[in-house]
Amino acid sequence: MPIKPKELESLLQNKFGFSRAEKHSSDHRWYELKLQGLPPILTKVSHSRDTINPRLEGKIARQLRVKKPYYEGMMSCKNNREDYYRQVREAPFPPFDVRRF
Amino acid sequence: MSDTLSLERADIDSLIPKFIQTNISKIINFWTDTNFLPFTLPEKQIILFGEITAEWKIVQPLTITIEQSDGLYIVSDEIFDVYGDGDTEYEAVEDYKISLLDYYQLAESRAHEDEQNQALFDHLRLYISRVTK
Repeated sequence: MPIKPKELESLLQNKFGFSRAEKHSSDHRWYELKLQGLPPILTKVSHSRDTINPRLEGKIARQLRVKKPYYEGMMSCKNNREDYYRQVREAPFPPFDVRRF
Repeated sequence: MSDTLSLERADIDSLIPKFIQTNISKIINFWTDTNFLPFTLPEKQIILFGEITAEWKIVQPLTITIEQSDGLYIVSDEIFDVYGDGDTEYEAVEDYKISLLDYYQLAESRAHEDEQNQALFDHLRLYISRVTK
């Protein structure tokens, strides 16, 4: 089910512990999560539509390091904060690959 | 008599134009109904290289993918997983550029915090640099 940008922002902050990444160079809304020992997880929330386009959700899922079905579980009640942190540590997608970093 | 219909390549080649000619209205209706044009790829890729703004340049070719979904253009890369979107392809590419520079500046400001942040920033610096004049 399509989600509104503000709903996504609320879930990222309140359910998953992201914080707003303050910036001054653009009006994009970025959120960040830093887990010990991992590169930062940075995601941008698009406000170009009332609801987030499903294909854009796929891009956001990649920024959150999970597959789209897992992201959908995050947006519903299926995956909580502890589940997400474990998922990102044990099976990030895309992986925190040494070739990528 | 065999039950199997045997077709040579030449037969198939000659049938394709006839099929299109006799089914053109169905093909157009299918395209109109589904927004799917079977003769073009659903996405395209372009390479960013050189100055992307007055202050920033791409110093190593960066492939970006342009997709269209429900009237929205979406541009993304598979190295940094940055995306941009907009009502036109141009707007989406411009939005992507801004997002990529956001990402760079966020990584830059956090690079000193630990080695993972530094590694991310070092990777970005392989692709993005300030223009020196």
